[in-house]
Amino acid sequence: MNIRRLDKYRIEIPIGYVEGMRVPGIIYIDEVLEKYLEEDAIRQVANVATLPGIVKASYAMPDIHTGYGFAIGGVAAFALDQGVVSPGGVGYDINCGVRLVRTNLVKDEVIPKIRTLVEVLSFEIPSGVGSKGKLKLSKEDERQLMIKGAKWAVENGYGEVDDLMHTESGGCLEGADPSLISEKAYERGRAQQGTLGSGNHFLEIQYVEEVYDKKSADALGLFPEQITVMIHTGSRGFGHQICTDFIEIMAKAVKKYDIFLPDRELVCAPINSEEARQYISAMKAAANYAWANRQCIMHWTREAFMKVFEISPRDLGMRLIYDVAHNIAKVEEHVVDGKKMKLMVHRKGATRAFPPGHPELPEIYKNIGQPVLIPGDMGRASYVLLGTKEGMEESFGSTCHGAGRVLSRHQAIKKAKGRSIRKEMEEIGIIVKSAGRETLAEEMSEAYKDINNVVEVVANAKISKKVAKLRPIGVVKG
Amino acid sequence: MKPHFQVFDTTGDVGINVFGNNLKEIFEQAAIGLFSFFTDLESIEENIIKTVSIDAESYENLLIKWLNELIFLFDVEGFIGKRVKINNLNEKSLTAKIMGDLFDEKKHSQGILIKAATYHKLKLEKKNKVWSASILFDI
Repeated sequence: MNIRRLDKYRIEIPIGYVEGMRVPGIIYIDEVLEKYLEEDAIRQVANVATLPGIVKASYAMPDIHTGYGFAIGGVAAFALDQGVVSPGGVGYDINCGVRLVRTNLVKDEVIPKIRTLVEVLSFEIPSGVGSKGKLKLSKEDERQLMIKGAKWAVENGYGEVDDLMHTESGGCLEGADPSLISEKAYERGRAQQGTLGSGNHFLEIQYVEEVYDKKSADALGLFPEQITVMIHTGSRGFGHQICTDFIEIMAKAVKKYDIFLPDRELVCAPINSEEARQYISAMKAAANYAWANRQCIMHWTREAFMKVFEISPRDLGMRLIYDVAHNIAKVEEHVVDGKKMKLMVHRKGATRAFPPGHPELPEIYKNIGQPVLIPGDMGRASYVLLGTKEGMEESFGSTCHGAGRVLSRHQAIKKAKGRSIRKEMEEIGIIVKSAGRETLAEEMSEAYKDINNVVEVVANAKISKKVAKLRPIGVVKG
Repeated sequence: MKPHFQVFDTTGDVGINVFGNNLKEIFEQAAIGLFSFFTDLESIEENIIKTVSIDAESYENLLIKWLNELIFLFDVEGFIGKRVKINNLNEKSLTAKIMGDLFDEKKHSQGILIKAATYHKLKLEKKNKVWSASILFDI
């Protein structure tokens, strides 16, 4: 069975590509990005199509690359009565996601102070391997935090109520049960709340370089030359431990429920089983932890701006535009074969992108659709997109999540040998600061696909719509 | 053969290939390979001794649980091992002593953060009297 190109932006992996496929695979990709498409990643999209209860198709976005079990960039939805939930379909960094913050400042006001700003931010926001957070949480704090998510942060003085309204699911998934969380996850979570982490996580100061849709940009509060801040991080060691714990639990469940798997990292359990109930509840706790994390980091970012620019909160006008998860599983209603169905939608390195009018959107975005935040690499750009009706009908209201790597760490480090990535970035007007010894080499632009290509595919396939392009001027990395 | 490990990487993640004359050496080298991602091990002194016990259902399961326990120790305490001694090892359990120190930003370089050891493409085998393992980590 061969892969078939459906149109300029989609290829199909037909049923039969691997044994046991229940639905086809669809990858959103054009011929430019297809050059980077790995054989292993295609197989993973096909493997997911073999899982019980999967509906319509196993999808992948143009930033696809090989992951564990599920490919990064994968979207898969399962019927609640016959389907499964899989920790591998969410990933180790549960609710890894992005938040975008607007300000009243413009580029020319910020550039003269950008070095100071980057220094202050990197001092105020712990990042990098082995760094500890400023918050010292008691066990009860942790319990409250996992139940309440970003609301916990706001209640404790880290931000404003208005921030919650601009966060996916209000920054809190109901139904997190702290009693299901392992002691190990509690311990890993205790010192890492309010930390950025390392690798591709970052905090970026950007400006609006281009607006594609003025009406929507107005509704979002975005205008050309305006300074924005993007925060990319997740649930840190807390989420990693929950995933690790449940991979072991699900491995037993697979035997118990006699589920055939083509790859052991696809371990899962029937949605209505006790194992699945526990995983979903623990995953919600980690999702809430991540929302609180991004909320706290945003709060310190606000303080850093106020300090550096000696400006009042009112004049600064720092307000959350949106916060969106790109590693999560959620129960959502979708139409399949003309019928409304409740589905367990897994997005692993894919972003929810709901259309205008969707009931889950905050009132102010009802008319334009859900904001979708797509970070690129530190030297190129990031995008603000919106969800579309077509995306809702086709890909369970989902789109891409970033650029996707093309070079491995070592390849990148080799390529950076004898060069100063920090200086090269400065030459193009981007001040970077990183904690790790090799982070900048690993994270250089050449290590990633061009975000512009990735966004073109999802925009041309109409599963999302372009609003604005953001260019970095200051980057804090782990 | 001197037991050793080699780091390799895939597009998104990192892994280690480990070689040894017996399973104990594999488990020891896998641990050192993991610690080497956190910082430069040359800078770590043997100031602290940790004892670790793991129960599992198979050798593969034991290997992943062992490495995930070490990731946990680093994440929570900042502990990085320089030398590892596996005392008891069978299919269902192991006990080990690890000599190392606590991570200190001022003394040690910041390497990469490992989220977990995974079962993805995991290999543990014996060929021509040589044991080898291949483990991928999520970063």
